[in-house]
Amino acid sequence: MSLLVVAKKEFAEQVGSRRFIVLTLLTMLVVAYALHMGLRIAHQSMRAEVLQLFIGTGNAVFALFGAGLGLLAGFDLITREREQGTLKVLLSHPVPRDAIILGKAAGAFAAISLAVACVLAVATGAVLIYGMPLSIEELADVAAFGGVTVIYIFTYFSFGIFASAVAKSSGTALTISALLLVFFSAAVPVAGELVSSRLAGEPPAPPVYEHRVHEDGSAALEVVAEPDSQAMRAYEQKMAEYMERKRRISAIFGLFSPVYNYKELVRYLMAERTYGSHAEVLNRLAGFVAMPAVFFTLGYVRFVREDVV
Amino acid sequence: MRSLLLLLALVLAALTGSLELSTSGISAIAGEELSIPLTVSNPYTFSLTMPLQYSAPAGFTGWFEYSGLRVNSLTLPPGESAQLVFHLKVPEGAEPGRYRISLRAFGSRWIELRVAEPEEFVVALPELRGVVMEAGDKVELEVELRSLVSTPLELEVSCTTPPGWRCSSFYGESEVYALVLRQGAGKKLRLVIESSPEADVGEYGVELVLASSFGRSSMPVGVRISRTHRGENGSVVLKLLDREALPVPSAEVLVEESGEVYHTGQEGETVIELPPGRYTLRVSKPGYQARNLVVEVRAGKRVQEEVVLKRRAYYVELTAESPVVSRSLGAKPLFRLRLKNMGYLDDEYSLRVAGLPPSFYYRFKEEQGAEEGLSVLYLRGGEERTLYLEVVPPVSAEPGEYRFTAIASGRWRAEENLTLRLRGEYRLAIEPAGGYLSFASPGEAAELRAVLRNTGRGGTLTSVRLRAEVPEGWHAEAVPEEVPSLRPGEAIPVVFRLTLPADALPSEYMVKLRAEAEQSSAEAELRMVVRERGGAALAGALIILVTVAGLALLYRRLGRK
Repeated sequence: MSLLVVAKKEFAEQVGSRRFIVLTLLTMLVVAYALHMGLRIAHQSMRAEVLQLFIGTGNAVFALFGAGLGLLAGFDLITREREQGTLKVLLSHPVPRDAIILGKAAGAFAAISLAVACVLAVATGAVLIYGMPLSIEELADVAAFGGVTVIYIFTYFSFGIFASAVAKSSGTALTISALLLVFFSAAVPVAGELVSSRLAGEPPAPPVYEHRVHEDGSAALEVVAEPDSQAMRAYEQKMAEYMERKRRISAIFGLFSPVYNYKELVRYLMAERTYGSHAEVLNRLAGFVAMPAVFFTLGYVRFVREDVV
Repeated sequence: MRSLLLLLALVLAALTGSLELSTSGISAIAGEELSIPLTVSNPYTFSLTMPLQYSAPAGFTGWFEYSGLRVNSLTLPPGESAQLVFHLKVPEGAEPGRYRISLRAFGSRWIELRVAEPEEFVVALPELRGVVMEAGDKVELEVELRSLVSTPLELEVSCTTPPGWRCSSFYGESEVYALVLRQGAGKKLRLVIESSPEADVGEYGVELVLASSFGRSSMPVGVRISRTHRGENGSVVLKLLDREALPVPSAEVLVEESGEVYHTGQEGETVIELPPGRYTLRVSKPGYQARNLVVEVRAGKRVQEEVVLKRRAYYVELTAESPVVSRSLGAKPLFRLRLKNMGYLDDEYSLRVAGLPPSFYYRFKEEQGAEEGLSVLYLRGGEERTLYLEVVPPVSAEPGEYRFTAIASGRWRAEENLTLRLRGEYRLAIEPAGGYLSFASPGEAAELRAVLRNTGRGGTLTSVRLRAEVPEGWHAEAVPEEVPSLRPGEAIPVVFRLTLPADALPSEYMVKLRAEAEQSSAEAELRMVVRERGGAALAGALIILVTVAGLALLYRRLGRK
């Protein structure tokens, strides 16, 4: 019961905060504008493309704004209470520590879900204004997209809550959260790219029939084989194999990147579930869910064992 | 008594003689100079001086020679003798016959001189007696002539040939028709025989005829023709050069007999093929003095002729690279001209244009993009320059053809006729009157209003047909369907009535409005959003409103105070 109370309180805190409302409204505006522009440049009957446009636009916007929303919702969840001294007061009540952190997480999760739902509702409204109603199946896809998005945002929230449990002050927590964001969103994909390039070996060289170098050595001209030639087909085959090798290696690193997982899962939804193998999608989903779970658990354990002075 | 004895001896000597001749008869030809050796002796026991005398018919002249000296008396010691030579010149006109010549010296003797026409007076020794050639070919033979008479022999040289053949004699580089042969000396002649190109295959004879006062002698040469050119044309290779020995291209060569005209190429050369005969060729080129040339064309033969043309002192040529230029109204047409001073003296040329309408502006320019105009141009002899004539039609210019003349005047004047074709600029535009986005519902009719405008210059657009390209299943109708004509600047409203099928899926569609005139076409693309019936847009707006309002309400309720 106390968990519900804490959750309600946290939900109210989140929804009532200026930064939540500003970020949500901003995301709504950007999504609505992106949809509007997308619909303007689209041609002819776009019935089959509406969903792609919808999810593609939302995906691009959420990838950026969602990360910010999640991080800002979580980074001072505990440090703020600690800094304001309300944590002691809270702990002096007969409320278990785990109920506090679980309640806060549940409240934040509900607030994030509300934000995502609002954005998707506005987007649906915008599409309807253009006279393009979504079918039940499409609405289900949008809902699935919303669910994935909530988990994505919650991943960053879990970074924040972990940082908040570990750090003494909100500033430190924000720094740790930002570092985690940069590490998993940028450093891991970059490292994956570097390692995959190294492990996949040298890319195959295109078939060169002529290699001319100017007399002064200023420039070289390479004449490659004809597109339909046997040599070129063999090259394309090798290149496809090389790219697949590289993709598999970077996909392993991608499992540790929330953005990568999120985009791949959304792509899976957009391609009407024909993108990638089931095993791959399940792995990705597992990686996608595991990351917030791990960080939330770490934060949870840290908070439960913390000595509040 | 002594004197009497002497007189007696003299008489005896005269009767018995002490003059000995090796011959009493001799032959000669008219004009011949004879040398008759004789021996004079003094049979007496005393020295004796004797006069040397002769008697001959009128016209014959003679003299005595002793030891290289001309003598008319001789003193001989007793019992001595002397060898003398009597020279006798037979007159040129001496008639054939017998003549008696009497010589006196211590005695007298007479000689019977027989003057006759010589049977052979010259020997001609040819190098070759017979040659083989193609009809129309030329052959050279060397012939050595030797005189058989003791007098200088004047010979007239000629040839007898089959008809159409040629034969000439050359001594050194000179063609000869008469020559003189000294006694014992020979002369070598070159006999050039040119057969007729139309000669049939066969054996022919050519004779070298030598005529003198002694008569005629001939030397035959056999010619075998191995191939005939009968019926074939001949050709003249004409090369024109100027004074600097540079080729003269683009000169005109008129064959006066046939009226055919040929032109020389870049190397100043042209080949004219003609039937055999004699032709007069008139060679002319602007800037050069014309020349006439007579050539003989031989069947199957190629004649090389080189003609030098003299340039005029003053001459100018003005040519346009393209004398007809077509441009749209509003453009500034440019004619590329070439001005060449073809005289050998320098000259100054004033440049102008005649025949352009007064409202048209023009200027000559040295460079295509030059701003400065040019009215006078100085050119050295032989120099040429490229010019640009820019014509600027006024804004009010009508489409059409304008003919005018570019003129360059110096001491010589050149003109070039130019034609400017101004086209009307045909441009059609179709502009949607209500913007490029419109809305409709399935099964409804929609009207798209547009303005059809002739935005070109000068040209009236005709038969402008209107149609709309719509998605499959839609129906479109243009009102009017066709506009007969649209003057420049004119605009008329048109309407496209679209009927959407009842089952049209709500989406965004592209509609193309097309206008096609005979001269131009235009199109406009519009987007038409087909909305869901039943107020989907309203529902969308409501969702947005409710969401935003709900969020605001929540914030208001839960927001930190």
